[in-house]
Amino acid sequence: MNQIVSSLIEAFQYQFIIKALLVGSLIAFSSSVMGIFLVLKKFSMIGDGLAHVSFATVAIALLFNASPLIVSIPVVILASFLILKLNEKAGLHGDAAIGLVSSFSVAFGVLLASMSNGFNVDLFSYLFGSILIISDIDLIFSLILSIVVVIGLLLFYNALFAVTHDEEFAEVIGIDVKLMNRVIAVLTSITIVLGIRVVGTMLISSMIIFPTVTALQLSRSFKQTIVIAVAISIFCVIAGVLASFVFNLPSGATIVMLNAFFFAIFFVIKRIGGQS
Amino acid sequence: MSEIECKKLIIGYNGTPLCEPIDLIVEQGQYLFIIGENGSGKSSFIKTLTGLLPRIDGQITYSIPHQRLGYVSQKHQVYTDFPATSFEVIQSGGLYKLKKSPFYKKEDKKAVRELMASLKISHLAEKSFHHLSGGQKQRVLIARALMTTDRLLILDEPINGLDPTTRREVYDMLKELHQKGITIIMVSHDHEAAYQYGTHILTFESGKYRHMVNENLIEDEKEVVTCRSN
Repeated sequence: MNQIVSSLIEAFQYQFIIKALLVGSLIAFSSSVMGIFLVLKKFSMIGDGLAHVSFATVAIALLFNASPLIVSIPVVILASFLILKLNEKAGLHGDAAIGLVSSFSVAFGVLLASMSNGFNVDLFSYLFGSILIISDIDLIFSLILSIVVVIGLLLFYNALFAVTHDEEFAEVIGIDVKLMNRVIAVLTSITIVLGIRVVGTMLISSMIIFPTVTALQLSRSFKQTIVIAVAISIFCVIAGVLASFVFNLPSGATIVMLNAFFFAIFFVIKRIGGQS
Repeated sequence: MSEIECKKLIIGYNGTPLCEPIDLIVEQGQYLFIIGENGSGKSSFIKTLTGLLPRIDGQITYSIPHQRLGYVSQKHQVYTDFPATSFEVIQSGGLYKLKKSPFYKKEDKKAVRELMASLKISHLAEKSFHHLSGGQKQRVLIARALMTTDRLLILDEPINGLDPTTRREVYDMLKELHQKGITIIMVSHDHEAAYQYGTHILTFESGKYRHMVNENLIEDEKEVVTCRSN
């Protein structure tokens, strides 16, 4: 026990841990709030699809020695528009459209990776996250983009609420539903690209889905859903980063496991509460 | 004074008309029931009125900006398990008041509370929308529409899936609103209610429409309603 406490104290002396906690919390905030709109709009698989697209964009960036963040954001935003468009068209089912885009992206990413040096350490770190090795540029980008997400959410919060609850009503009272769906797509794309640094392309959709679904077990109001989801998400990232340092575990997977743990607890509480 | 005026309005999907050109005036204070078989065009007509469906041809003139129509969408369009309180749902009807500010002001919240009190649903304010009964949900959605408008309600099959007692409650609420001077346009399968409550009835059948004054009601209530139909 003493050993754990002393390594926790030790953790806070490292700059990389402080950076990881800061960036991780910002991304936990953005991903959990975006998650609420995505889950409620039944768009959660868009998050998953875009995460797969970001795998391909990271492979492209690494092949050309460019910053994965800079390459990924515009491409993932474009992909999100494409998925929305395919979703709106009657010919293709929404989930099938996402399946098409994501499997294509993964295949493309794998081919690119094999053309360079195969799956090297760098690509592996983007697959499963590597929040403990965040560069200063990543930190600055994460800060700026998280602020963009927060401002976007504040500006459009009420319109997003209306569109998520009842699209027809929102359209009648003059809200541009298509624009709002695009706002969701852009903010989600940014969040996902940032999130791959924390938990990786394979696990980022869990950071979007878990906190919301957990909050939905107990929340009564929309505001409460947001507060619970954000609190759980930030707690899981902080606890996950520290636990991964102390117990020498992979940070991304630890964060996701903590999220799963909270979900299980809330799920059980709801069931017990419902029976009594 | 007319609330809505349709001139040679052609409704339908993808350029294919569902009905002959419609000429119709809905005067202030009318309670118009729209009835007809599935696919006859009644829902398409209402969707065209609200701007959800583009009109093929013709004209619609509104007395108010069409974003200020009080619309109650069909039940399956509304996310019924939504994690929001009734207050939050009703408040979202007042979105047009926000203009540039991202937050509702104190007086906006007060207006929601006053509206809920006048509709006798104050007790539902903090209740989660998805825990409400079917009838309570419908009342909250009508309240949300009233945040947008104080003169014209358009409802798309509001009593579908409700039991007879709850239907009665919704009809009573609408009757009260109509008596306060709100114009009501409502799509329904409930012919009996149409003749019981409606001042006017619009029927769609096999590509034709018929707009008429509900003579029974006028006889019963000795109400004088002016009507200009085609």
